Amino acid sequence: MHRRFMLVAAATVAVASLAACSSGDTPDSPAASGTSAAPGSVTLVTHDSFALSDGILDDFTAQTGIAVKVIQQGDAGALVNQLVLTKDAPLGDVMFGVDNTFASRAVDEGVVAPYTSAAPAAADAAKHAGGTGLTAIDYGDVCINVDHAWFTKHELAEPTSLDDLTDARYKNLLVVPNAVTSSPGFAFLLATIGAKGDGWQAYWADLKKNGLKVADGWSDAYFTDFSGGGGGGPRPIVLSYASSPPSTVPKSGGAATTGALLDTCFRQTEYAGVLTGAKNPQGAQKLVDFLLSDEVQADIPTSMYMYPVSTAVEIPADWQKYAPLATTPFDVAPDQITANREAWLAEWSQTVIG
Amino acid sequence: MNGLGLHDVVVRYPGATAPAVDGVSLHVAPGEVLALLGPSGCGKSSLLRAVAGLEPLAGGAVTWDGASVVDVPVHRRGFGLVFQDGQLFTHRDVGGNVAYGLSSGGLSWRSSASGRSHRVAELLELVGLAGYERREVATLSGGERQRVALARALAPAPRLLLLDEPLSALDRSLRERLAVDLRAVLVATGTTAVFVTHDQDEAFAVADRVAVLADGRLLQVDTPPELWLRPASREVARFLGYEAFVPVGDPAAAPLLAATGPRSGSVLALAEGAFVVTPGDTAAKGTVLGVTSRRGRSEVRVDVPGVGPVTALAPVGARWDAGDVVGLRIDGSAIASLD
Amino acid sequence: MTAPVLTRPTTPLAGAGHGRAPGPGRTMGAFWVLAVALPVLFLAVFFAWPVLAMVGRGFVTDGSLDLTGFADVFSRPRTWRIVGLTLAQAAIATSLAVLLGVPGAYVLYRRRWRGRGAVRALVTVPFVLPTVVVGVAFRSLLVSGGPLGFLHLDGTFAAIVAALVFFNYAVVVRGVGGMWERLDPRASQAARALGASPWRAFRTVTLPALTPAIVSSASLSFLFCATAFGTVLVLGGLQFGTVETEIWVQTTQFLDLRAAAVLSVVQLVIVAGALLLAGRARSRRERALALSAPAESVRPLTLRRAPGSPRHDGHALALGAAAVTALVVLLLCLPLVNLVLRSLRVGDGWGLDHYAALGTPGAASGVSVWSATATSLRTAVTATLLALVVGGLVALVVSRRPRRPAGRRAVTGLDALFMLPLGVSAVTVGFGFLVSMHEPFGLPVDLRTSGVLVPIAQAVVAVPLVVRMVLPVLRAVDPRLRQAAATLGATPGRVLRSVDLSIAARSVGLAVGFAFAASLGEFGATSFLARPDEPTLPVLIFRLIGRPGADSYGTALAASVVLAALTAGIVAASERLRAPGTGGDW
Repeated sequence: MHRRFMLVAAATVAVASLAACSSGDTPDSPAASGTSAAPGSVTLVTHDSFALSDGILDDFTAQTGIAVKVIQQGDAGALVNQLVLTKDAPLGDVMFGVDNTFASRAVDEGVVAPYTSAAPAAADAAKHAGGTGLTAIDYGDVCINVDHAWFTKHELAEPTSLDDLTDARYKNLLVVPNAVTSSPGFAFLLATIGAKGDGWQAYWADLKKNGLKVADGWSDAYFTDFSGGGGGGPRPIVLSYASSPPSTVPKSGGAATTGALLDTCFRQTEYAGVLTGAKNPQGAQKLVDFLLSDEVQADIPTSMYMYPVSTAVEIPADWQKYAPLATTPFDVAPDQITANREAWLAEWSQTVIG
Repeated sequence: MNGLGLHDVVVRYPGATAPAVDGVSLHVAPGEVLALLGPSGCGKSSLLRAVAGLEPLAGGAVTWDGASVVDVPVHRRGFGLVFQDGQLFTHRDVGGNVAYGLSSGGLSWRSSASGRSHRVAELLELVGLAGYERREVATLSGGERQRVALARALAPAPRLLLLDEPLSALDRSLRERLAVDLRAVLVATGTTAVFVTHDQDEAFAVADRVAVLADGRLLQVDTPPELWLRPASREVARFLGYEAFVPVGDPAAAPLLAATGPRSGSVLALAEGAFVVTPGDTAAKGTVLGVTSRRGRSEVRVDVPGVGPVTALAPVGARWDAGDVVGLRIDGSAIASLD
Repeated sequence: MTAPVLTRPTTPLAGAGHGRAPGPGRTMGAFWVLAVALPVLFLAVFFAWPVLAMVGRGFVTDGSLDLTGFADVFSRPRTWRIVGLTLAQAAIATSLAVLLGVPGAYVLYRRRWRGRGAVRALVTVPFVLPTVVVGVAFRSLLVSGGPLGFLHLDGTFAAIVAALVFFNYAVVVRGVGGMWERLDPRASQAARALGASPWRAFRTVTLPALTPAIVSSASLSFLFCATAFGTVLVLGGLQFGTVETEIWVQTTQFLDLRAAAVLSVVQLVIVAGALLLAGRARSRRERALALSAPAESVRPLTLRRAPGSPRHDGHALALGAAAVTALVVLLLCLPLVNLVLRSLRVGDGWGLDHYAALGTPGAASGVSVWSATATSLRTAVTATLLALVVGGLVALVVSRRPRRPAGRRAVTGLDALFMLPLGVSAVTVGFGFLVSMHEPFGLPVDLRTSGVLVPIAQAVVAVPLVVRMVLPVLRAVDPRLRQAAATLGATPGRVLRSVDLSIAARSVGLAVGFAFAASLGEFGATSFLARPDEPTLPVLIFRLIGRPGADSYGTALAASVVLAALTAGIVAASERLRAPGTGGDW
C-alpha cells in the first residue's frame, strides 16, 4: 500500500515536472491539464493530411467562443484504428478524415455518436452518406494520371482506360502506390474490384506482366517514379488524384502538364463525426457544422486538394479546367470493403508482390 | 661492424622546437648490455623507440651488423621491446602472452605447438615463474608482470632486446633484486640489449657499458668502473651522484689529494661517502646539517669549509645534532678527477 | 589514513555503518536505490506498461487469455519468411556496417587530419534523417534513369541493406571510435616488437581490446536494422517486409491486434536473443583496458609515408582504411548531395525559392519550417536531458561489479532491459501509449494529448544510446582509480563525482550529441503519438511531402536539408565541447 503510494507520487512528480517543461501548448488550450471538457474548447482528432488556411479555425473561435485543438496522427488507416482503440477514452471530441474505405469499421465499432448536422450544406453532404454519425465533408477521385509531355515527346497515344494499362504499348510505364501501405493505393485496388468484379486478380496479374511498378506510398510514386511530378522519374503513368493536375500548371502559365484519366477512378469521401464519449459534444457538433460552412468548404480545394461537398461554393478556376471529377467512378460498398479488406489485400499481395 | 650501430641519430617530434634526440652515435657489440642513462626527458626513451622502429628518424641511421634497418618495419627488425608497465595482453593468459612472438617464422620451436609450449615453459622457468602458463595476467603482481614481459620479449630470441625502464614501476627492493635477475637472464641467454633507465645503480648493476644522455645528446659511454672513476664532465659526474666539486688548486683540495694520491685532472669530484664521520680524525672537519638513515647506517649532511654541503657516512647507531662539529676521514675511492 | 576504517565493528555505531561513518553510507545507499529505481520506474511507466497494455489486448478476448494467435500466426508460411528476412537484413547490414565502420573509426578517431571534425559530423547525418527523406534521396538515385539507375538496385534486397548500412555506419564509427581514440597504443607496439606485422598486431591485440565497443555498436546497429520500418517499406516494399513492417500493417491497416501481439512477442524474442549473445560476447572481453589520452595515441594521417619511417610499417593499412573510409563517405554523400540538389531544383531551373519558403507558414500545418524547427529543438532538449539523467544512472549502475553473482546478474539484466526500447516496434509503443496513458494511475491527466509524451517517447529511444556511449568508458575505468580516491579520503559520494562522473563526462559530449540528434530526427514512435498542434520538423517534412505540388515537395526537401545541417552542426559542436576534456590526466 505504502509502496504503491510512493509509485504514484513519484509518477505525479515526474509528470508534473515534465508538463512544466513542455511549452508546446497554446495558452488558451489547457492541454496539460487534459480537461478538454472545459467550457470553450474542443479537440479535433484527424490525420496527417488535414490542413486549413491560416486563421480559419480562429474564425470558428471568434464566432463560437470555442478554442480548437488539433491532434494529427498518422494516415487515415492509423487514425481509424487509433479511434477504435481509444473509444472508451477518446482522444478528443470530434474527428475528421475517416474515409469511405474505413467508414463502416468506424461505425461498426461505435466510434462516432449519432449526429445530423443542420448546416445549409448538410443536404449536399447527405448525398455522400457514409453511415450513422458520419457527415461527409469533402470528396475526391483517385485516378490514373499521365504525363502529357512524355507522351507527346514519345509520340505515343495516352492510355484512357484500365484495359489500356495492360496493353503492351504501355509496358513498364505504370507506377502505383502499395495497396497495403497507402490509402490511394488501396482506393485504386477498389477501383479495379469495382470495375472487374471477380476478375480483378487476373487484371492485376496482367498489369504485373506489363511491367507494373509498386512504390511504397503516394509521394514515393508521384515524386520519385513519376516523370511529371517534378522529381523527374522514369514512368509517365502514375496512380494519383483527379485533383493533382492543377499543381502541374507551369508558373510561367500555360496548361497543366499532367492529366487524370477519368475512366479509372475510385471516389474517396472523407467524413467528420462527433466522437462517442466526447467531453464537449455541443462544441464538437458546432465544429462539424463549421466544417460544412462556406468558409471551410471554399478553402478545401486549395488546402486539402479535395472537392467540397457543398454545391454552394465556387471551385477554383484551374480546378474546373484541370481537375474535373469522374462522371462514373467505380464503386464498392463500404460494408463490403470492411468485410473483405484483409482478404483482398492478402490476395493482392500474393498476386502483385509475391 | 657487428651488432647495433647508431649513426648521428636525430628524432624530432612534430611541433617541438628542439629535437628529442640530437645526433647520437653509439655501438653495441653482440652479447653486450648497454644502459642508456639520463634524467627524465633527456631523450633516452625516444632513442630507444627510434631503434625499435616506433619513431621515424629525422636524420642519421640505425644499423645492424653494418646494414641499415631504417627501411625495416618494427616487426621485421627482430628487436624485442619491454615497456615500463609490461603492456601484457590482458585478453591472453601468461602462456598466451609468452607464446605471442612464437607464432611466425621458421625456427624449430616455432614450428609446432609442442615446440612452442616447450619454449614457453623454458622461458617462464628462466624468469622464475615456472608453471604460470594458465594464470590470468590480471592476477599477477607487478614484479611477476615484468618477468612475464621479459619472458615474452625473449621468447622469439630477438637479436636485440630493448628495455624501456622495465623496473621503474616496481618497489625498491624488488627493483634491486630484479636488476640482478635481469642481468643474469641476459647473460645466460647471450642477449644483446639496450636498457633505458634513470637510476645509475640499476644501470651499473645490469649493463656492461653505460651511455649517459642529457638534452638529447650523448655525453659519455663507458664501462661502469671507468664511468665512475673518470666522468667526462661535471654534468655527467653530477648525474652519477657526485655532489661536490673542488678545483685541484683550492686549499680545500689538499687533504683530498692526500687521500687519493696525485690525480691528472684539474677538478676533484666528490661522491656521497667521500667523507666518513670518524670522531677524532682530523683530516677534515664539518658542521652537521642533518642526519638520515639508510639501511641502518647513518648518513650525515655536513658542511665542509671550501667544499660545501656533502653527504658523509657514519657508523651504525651514531647520533649527532645539527650544529655539532665532527671530524671526517677521507675515502679516496669516492673521489674522481675531472679534466 | 583514517582510523575508523580499521576498527572492528564492536560498537553499535560502527556495526550499523559497517565501519564507515554512518552519514555518507546511508546517503550512498539511498543514492544507489534511487539510481536503480528512477530509471526502472521511467522504463516501467513509459515503455513496459504501454507495450504490455497493447500486447495484452491481442491476447485477451472477452476477458480471458487467448493464446491461439500463436498457432495461427506461426502456421502462416509468410510469418517464417518475414522472420527470416528480418534476421537476414539485420545480420548482413550489421556485418557490413562493422566491416566498414571499424576502418572508419580508425581514420576518424585514431588519426588527425584537416577536416576530420566536419567529416565526423557528416557521417552522423544519415542516422538522424527521417526515413521518408532518405527514401526520396535513395530511391531517386537508384530509380531507373537516376544517377545510379544503371546498377538496377531499385526495389532489391541489396538496396535495403545499403540503406540500413547508410543509417548505421555512424553507430559503429562513433561507438568504436570513442574507445579506440583512448586505447593505449603501446600494447600493439609491444606486439609489433614481438614480430607481429601491423595487420597481425591489429588482429590479435587491438581488435580484442576493441571487441566490447564493437559488440556494443553492432548490437545497437542490429536492433536498429531489425526494427527498421520506413526504410524497408520505401526501398523494398512489402516484398522484403520485416517483423516491424508486418506489425505496422497488422495494427494500422487491419487492426488485427492478435497477430500484431504475436509478432511483437516474436520481435521481442529476436531482440532479447541478440542482446543475450551481445552480452555474452561483451562480458568475456570487457575488462579494464589501458587507456591513454587521445593526444598521445592519435597520429596525423598523411598520404605519403612519414619521412624516416620504413615500408611495411602499417602505412599501407592506414591508407587502406583511409581509402575505404573515403569511399564510404563518398557513398554516404551521394544521397545527401542528391537531396541538396533536388531542394535547389525549381521547375526546370535552379534557385533558392524553396529555402525562401521555409519562413512562411505552409498550408500543410499552419506553421513554418522555422517554427517547427524551434519546436523540434525544444523537444529535443527536454528529451536529451531526460535521456542523460536516466541513461547516465543506468550506465553508472551497470558499470558496477557487485560481489554476489545474483547482483551481477541483476546488473546485466538491467543493461539488457534498457536496450529493449530499441528493439520493440514503434507502432506497438505508440499505440500502447494511446491505450494506457489516459489518466494513468487515476491521475486527472490525459497524457496522450498533452504533448508531454513526445519528448518522453524520444527519450525512451535515446536512453539506450546514452547507455551504450557512456558505459564502455565507465567500465574501462581502472577500479584502482576509485580505490586511490578512497584512500585519499574521498567519501563514496566524492569518489563517484570525482572519478566516475568526471571520467564519464568526457564521453557525455558524444552521448549528448547522439541523443540530441536522435531525438531531433525521431519519427517512428512520435509519428504514432497523438500530437498537439505544433509538429516537429520530421513530422512537418512528412506532411509536406505527402501533399501534391512541386512546391510542397521542394519545401520538404529544403526542410530536410535544414534538418541535416542542424544535425551535423549539433554533432560537430558536441565534438568540440568534448575536446577540451579529453586531454591530460587519464
